Amino acid sequence: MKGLIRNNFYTVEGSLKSTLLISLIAAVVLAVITRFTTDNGPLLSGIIGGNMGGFGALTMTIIQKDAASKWNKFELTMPVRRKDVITARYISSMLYILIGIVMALVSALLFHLSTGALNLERMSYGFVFGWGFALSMPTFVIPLVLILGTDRTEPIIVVSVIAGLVLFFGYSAVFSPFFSNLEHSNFLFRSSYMIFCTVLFVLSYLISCRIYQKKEL
Amino acid sequence: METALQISNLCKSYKNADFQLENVSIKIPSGSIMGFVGKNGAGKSTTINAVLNIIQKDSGEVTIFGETMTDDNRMIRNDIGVVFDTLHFSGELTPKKLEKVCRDTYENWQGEQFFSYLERFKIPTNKKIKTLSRGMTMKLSVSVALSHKARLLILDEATAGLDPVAREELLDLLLEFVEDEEHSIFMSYHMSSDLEKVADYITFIDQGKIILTEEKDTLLYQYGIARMKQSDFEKLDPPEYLAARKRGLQMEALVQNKAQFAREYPGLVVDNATIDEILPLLTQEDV
Repeated sequence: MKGLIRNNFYTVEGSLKSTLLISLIAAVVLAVITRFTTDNGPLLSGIIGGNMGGFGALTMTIIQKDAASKWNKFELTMPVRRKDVITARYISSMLYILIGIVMALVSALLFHLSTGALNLERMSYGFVFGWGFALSMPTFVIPLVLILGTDRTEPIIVVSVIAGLVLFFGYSAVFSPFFSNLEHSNFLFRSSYMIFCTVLFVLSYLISCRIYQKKEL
Repeated sequence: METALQISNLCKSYKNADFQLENVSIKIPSGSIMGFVGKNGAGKSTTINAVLNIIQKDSGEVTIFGETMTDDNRMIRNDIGVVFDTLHFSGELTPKKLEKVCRDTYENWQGEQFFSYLERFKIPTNKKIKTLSRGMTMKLSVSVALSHKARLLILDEATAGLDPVAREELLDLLLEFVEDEEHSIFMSYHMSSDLEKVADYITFIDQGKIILTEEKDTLLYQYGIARMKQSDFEKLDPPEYLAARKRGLQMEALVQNKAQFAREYPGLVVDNATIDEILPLLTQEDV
């Protein structure tokens, strides 16, 4: 398993470095822009969510490159179970999302240093959106690619991005009225959304394990 | 003698396809090299993929060193080294990074041995694999397969597309591997001249069925190809030959015992058979 995660890391190493660089540049640009603008809250939320989503999207790079190099076939000849292959993919995805969270925190810190303000409301909005959006990548992409094949990766990516957005706004539309009259409604609503996305992620993992058990390469 | 690999009544069919593996059975004794020969699409790779659990079997059993090959049985796969016909590693990795991946995966990984192979084959350790030549990538694959104390090597058309020098180097390496009597090799080819140099046994497959398994020396020194006119061919009884084909104005018949055949038909020419000649005779339609 450790070897599989290491291989996933090496496979996306180049893309990871590029994403880190873009993320840093975006954080600095945001910090500079905020000196000249007044309402920076949406920008802060966007860059936090974008960071997390961007790193979550590295999952797709692993899948594409593994299939193109036929590593996904070779790894089954190694002393690992099919379940380990899937577990390694989901763990790798989580690691990239965690890097995204760190970079989002860096952005928020630079924002704070630049403006002197600590907009916790917009920050938390960004993290909640980012968490759901980032998780939606592995949640939808991995099982769909296993079912439909790697040659349909591009449309699957588009569907997954749309699904991530629909999930966020759909969840808000359906469930926010239930929380509106409660104390700490924002906190409760956002927590429930994060839990919901995490449950979907776990379900996706279980489904992917099941699909991959019978998958022919 | 221990059996390295035993395939018993392996069946595999595909939806919307005529092709299927039909009761494929192969047994490879420890310490031997089994060549697996057939035309393109005969079922060689399907058999190997089923052995390795890359595709699902419909029925049949695969045992390796007496243990059933299943997804859960990870320990068996420590004993197997696999080389496919093309590179199956991420091109983004360098051989040095690949070594780290293997070190974290194989229980008996021999890093020093791996690097000694890289040195022997002059494979740069810090260049991305995607920049290496085909010959180098195949040698890299063999280096991985030989560096984790595997007892069984499975090669699927591993020397296809290599220049003669690279092929010789790989074949030498395989012969070194089987110097240890516990080591065995199962290698598929559609070009079989290499097998004449190294194999102990040859199995022929066609249209998903095993059509002949024989010791290589028996094939080369006991089997023969009788060449004759159509009128002479018509005098033969079918049990006297295994397969026959028309070639120009001549008939060719594969006979199991060329010395005996020559005694019975002194007027006919019986040549030694090569594997490359036997394969088309065995796999063409009946005359």
